[in-house]
Amino acid sequence: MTASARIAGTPPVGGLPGAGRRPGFLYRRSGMFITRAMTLGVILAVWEWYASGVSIALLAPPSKVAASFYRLVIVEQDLIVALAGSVWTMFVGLGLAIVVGITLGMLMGRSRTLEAVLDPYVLFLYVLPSVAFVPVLVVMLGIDVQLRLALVFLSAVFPLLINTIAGVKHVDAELVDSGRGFCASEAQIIRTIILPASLPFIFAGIRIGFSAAWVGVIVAEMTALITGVGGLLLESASRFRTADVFVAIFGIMVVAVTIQWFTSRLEGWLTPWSRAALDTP
Amino acid sequence: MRVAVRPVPGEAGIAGLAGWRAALKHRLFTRRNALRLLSLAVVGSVWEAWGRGNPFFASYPTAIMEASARIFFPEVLPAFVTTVTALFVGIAIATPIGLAVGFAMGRIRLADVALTPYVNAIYATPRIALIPILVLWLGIDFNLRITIVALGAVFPIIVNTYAGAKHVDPELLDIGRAFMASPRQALWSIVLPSSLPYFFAGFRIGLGRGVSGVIVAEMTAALTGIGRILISHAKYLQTAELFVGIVLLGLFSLVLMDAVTRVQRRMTPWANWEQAR
Repeated sequence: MTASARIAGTPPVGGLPGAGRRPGFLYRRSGMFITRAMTLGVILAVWEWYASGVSIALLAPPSKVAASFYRLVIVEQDLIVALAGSVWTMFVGLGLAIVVGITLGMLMGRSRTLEAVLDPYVLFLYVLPSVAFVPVLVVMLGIDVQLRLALVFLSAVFPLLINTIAGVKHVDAELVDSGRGFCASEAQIIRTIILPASLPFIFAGIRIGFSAAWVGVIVAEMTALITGVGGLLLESASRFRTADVFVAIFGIMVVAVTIQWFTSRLEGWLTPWSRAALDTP
Repeated sequence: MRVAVRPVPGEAGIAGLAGWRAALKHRLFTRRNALRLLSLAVVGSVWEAWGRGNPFFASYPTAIMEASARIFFPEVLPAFVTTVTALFVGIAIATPIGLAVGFAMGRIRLADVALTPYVNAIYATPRIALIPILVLWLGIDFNLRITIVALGAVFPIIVNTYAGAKHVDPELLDIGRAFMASPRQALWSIVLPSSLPYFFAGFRIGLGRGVSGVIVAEMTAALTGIGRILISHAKYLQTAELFVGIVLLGLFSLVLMDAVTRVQRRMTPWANWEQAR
């Protein structure tokens, strides 16, 4: 990393303009909270007003959605059960994808032969939208639980693989050379130089793979086997229960946002040396 | 290592493509390309040998070629045109909206504070979850497909343009100020160019999401285009015809991503695209 990149991120000498003064309303925590609460209030009010004019089969008002949320989450707990099944599948598939993706990515990044042998397929499958796997998997695996797992794996593994390869190739050649200079074995080089230096890329891959895995679960549940939260969503929609549809979408959204939040935090916790690189664009 | 440009969602991009092109430009018969060909030949013949035993299960390359010769012009090409039309219309709608909203959020604090939670939440949510409700609102027509494409594409563009517009190098702005640039001049000559690489990163992701969005919409609701090709042939276990659709889709995605890389390089030569090395 050159010095200029680091300096670019630091505030100019003498502090940012207006550093001594109290920050403006929209820069204060309280101000941000008030603004966001007001935005939410306006959105809900407009939604409620608009929904009162259309059929509930098309658009449920927020009050009905809240009632439905209470029923599906607290009373009958359908949403919780459905989400638990979906999330479990996601974790199993993602775990497989992480193990395979990182291992294969390391090997492909270090060996030009293996890379040349495999990269036509990796590239093709990476750019292929993962939905396109669904019909093939249905033919090969049938409509079974395995299908969900396979789709999750296939959705998550390619971003992981591509990022790991990029990370391994990105490692500063001087570091590897100095490792060689100290007579480090290939295993030592991988463990002490390649792995830590490529972790930021691997985490970027995990972050994308994690989100892709969740998309994979929902796609499988909505296109092939109607179970889990995707199935709940589809069933509610086919019965025109829009309030339940919104609750299911909300559940899917909560998991997706949690994944994004968690992975971005994880990156900071585990690879603090990459933070500068990630935060200074 | 320069870290000046790092698109937010941290996608490594398809580094391989650039390498392939460079290889084609300089030397076609390299060891790497020989290995690639060898690998394709071996995998192809193993697939052929194994697939002939299980034609419904996995099909095989010659059957796929035969099927593509049979159905490409009467069936696949019109479907492809249908899909691509919806894709491009959706992208054409999403790009200006994404740019405008992203810029507004990056440069106007109120828009940033008010909209960020919603943009992030919808950005993270799988678009397929919105299809059932959109079917209720829009039917299963052309409108549904372009809406799905636009919804898939607009949020990555917003998020990345926002990041680009927000994280303009303060030193550059200082220099602009020192040279008496008006705010408008600073916007056009500093903020806009420095956020363009971010926009492209978002555009690339958005394009990918647009492609998968239109296919999902066609598979689950609209039943036209390439999505229908995939679903209907899978239903009747016409595996060879199914693979024709998949190969076309994969090749199309490759060409599309390569085109974006070319445009990106031409339009943002100052961005240090390490990933596309």
